[in-house]
Amino acid sequence: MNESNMTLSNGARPKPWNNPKIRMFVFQTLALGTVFWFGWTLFHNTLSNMESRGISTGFGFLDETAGFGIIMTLIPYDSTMTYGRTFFVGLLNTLLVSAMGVVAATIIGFVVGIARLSSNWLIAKLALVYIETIRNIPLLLQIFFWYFAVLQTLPSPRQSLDVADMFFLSNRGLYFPTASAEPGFGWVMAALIAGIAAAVFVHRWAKRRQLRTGQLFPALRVGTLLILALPLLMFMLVGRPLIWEMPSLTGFNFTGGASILPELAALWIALSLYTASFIAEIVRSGILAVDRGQTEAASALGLKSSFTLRLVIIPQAMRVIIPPLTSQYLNLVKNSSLATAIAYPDLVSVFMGTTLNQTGQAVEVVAITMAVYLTISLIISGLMNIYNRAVALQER
Amino acid sequence: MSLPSELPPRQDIGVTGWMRKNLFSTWYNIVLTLVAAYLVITSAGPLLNWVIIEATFTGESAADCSGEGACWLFVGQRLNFFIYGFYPDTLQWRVDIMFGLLAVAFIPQFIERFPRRKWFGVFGLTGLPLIGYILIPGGWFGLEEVQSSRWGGLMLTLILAYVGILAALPIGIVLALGRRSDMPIIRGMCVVFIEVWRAVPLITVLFMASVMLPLFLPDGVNFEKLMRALIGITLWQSAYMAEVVRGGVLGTFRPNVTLIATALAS
Repeated sequence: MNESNMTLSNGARPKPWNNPKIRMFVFQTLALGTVFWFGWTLFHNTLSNMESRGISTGFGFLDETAGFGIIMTLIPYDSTMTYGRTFFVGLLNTLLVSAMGVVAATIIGFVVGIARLSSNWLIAKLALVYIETIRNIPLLLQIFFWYFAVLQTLPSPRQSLDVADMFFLSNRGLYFPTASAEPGFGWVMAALIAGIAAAVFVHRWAKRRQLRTGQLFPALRVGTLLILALPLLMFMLVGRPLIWEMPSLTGFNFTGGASILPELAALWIALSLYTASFIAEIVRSGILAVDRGQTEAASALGLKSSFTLRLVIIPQAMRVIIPPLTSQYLNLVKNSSLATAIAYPDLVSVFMGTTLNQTGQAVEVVAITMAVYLTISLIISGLMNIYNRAVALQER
Repeated sequence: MSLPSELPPRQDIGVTGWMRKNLFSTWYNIVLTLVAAYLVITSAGPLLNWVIIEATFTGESAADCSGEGACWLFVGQRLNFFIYGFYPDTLQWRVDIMFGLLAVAFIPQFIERFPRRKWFGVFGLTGLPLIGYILIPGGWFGLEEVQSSRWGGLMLTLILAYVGILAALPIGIVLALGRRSDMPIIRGMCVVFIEVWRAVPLITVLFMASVMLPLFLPDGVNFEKLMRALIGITLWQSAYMAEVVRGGVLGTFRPNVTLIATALAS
């Protein structure tokens, strides 16, 4: 359509305000102008407000000494370090709980989603009750429930529940043994890499052979065996090069080993269960979206039911599952910021909480925090989009 | 000569048949059923015991609770606080009127053949918020003023949700249409707005609204706390609403539908 050269039936040119091109130009200029004016006003107001309140601008505060302790750090940290360091401590804690949550929620969600479709009445109904209960209760309440009603009422370290004197569960958290590597451990890692490489090779070879001869080879089982057995064999051969450090009770708390704090555990459990209930519904919708005829056609061709599942149903279900699954992962990462309610030291709690309160650099801190979440979200949706493109219907 | 029809085998009908089909069809279903039944029975018993059988429902103070089960006394004693927060006792009728009007506006929406159902809905979207705006804070027409810091409980939850939904919907529709616009600058601005708000957690938005909003505003203009929270919620929710509306638009506005509509209109 060549709208700008339109002439009316009587030969006259349309009025300029009826010309789409001119209208577009005017509207967009107006919108752009309004946004710029709005942004400039905000900027101006902020500057003059900060000046009148004596707040200095800039990111210099990141180099100042923080002077507060953090209960859980993945990188070395103490109160003599800088505010910049607190940012990384918080960021890593956020990423840790998000990653743990994504893995757990995916596993639980897929299991429950499939259980919801089970032919077993009891299992299906239990899954239904789980989904409808968990996803209709606000996440914040669930975090409080796990933290205050479950984990804080566990016995004290002296009466802690222990499993084989290795795992200790108390209201201070879950303590478990850690292993430190001895010199020969490099060989075990090498064996693991070799096992993975061998599994990939076997898989490729099996696929080529199947295409050529039609014969099947249990590549999945052999591959798993290779990945597990090779490092284990090497581990025994070089004489078990690992030293285990057991947690032990000294005084009022445990020393040695590693621990999961109750804050982390409560947040992790609540986030995983909550998100899993949504993922379960997504998985169910994905599986139901695959037409029954597909299953029937597969069995008419003589495919075993496990192959039908793996080659026919799951690939098609994944197309429906991936986009909403992505937004659930994003929600999980964003919801992890509720950590601040139970003082798990995540980015919002440490950086937007304590650091912001101590420095008063509201604009900088909030801007950095929001930029970080924006970046994480964009990375996750970018990765999931790449995966989605790989499994999406290839239209020819 | 045809055979008389017979009932299905006994084990395939009735309770036994249902159980064989739905609970014990295969060996793994038998295992699953038994494990699940064991878990349900072992956890439901103590839970029921704690919630109802051993629980205390009547009494005067916490001392009356037996300690064996749940103590539900405080729910009855604090019910007023749960619903109204610190809203003055003598003025709670104003909140009650709003609860009543809410019911009047929305119960008809669930009854198919309710006369003039639409107008009740329109009232819910226009008149109801207006009355609430006058009635709940007071300070008009001789009504005593109640500061928003004294609101609380269920009432405040409903106000935040209602205003958030009501304000976010029109903004969301505008954003969704803007995202589908032919004008690149308008489209770009809408995309950036939606994606930025959707990518950050609500708690950071609320933080921003409470800490940074006062810095953004010119001297002398100041919003109270509740207003700041509402602005944060609305901006955040409108981005989500925009994507919901866009989903609906994409679901119906196929090119040919748009073309037909244009053809009919010109």
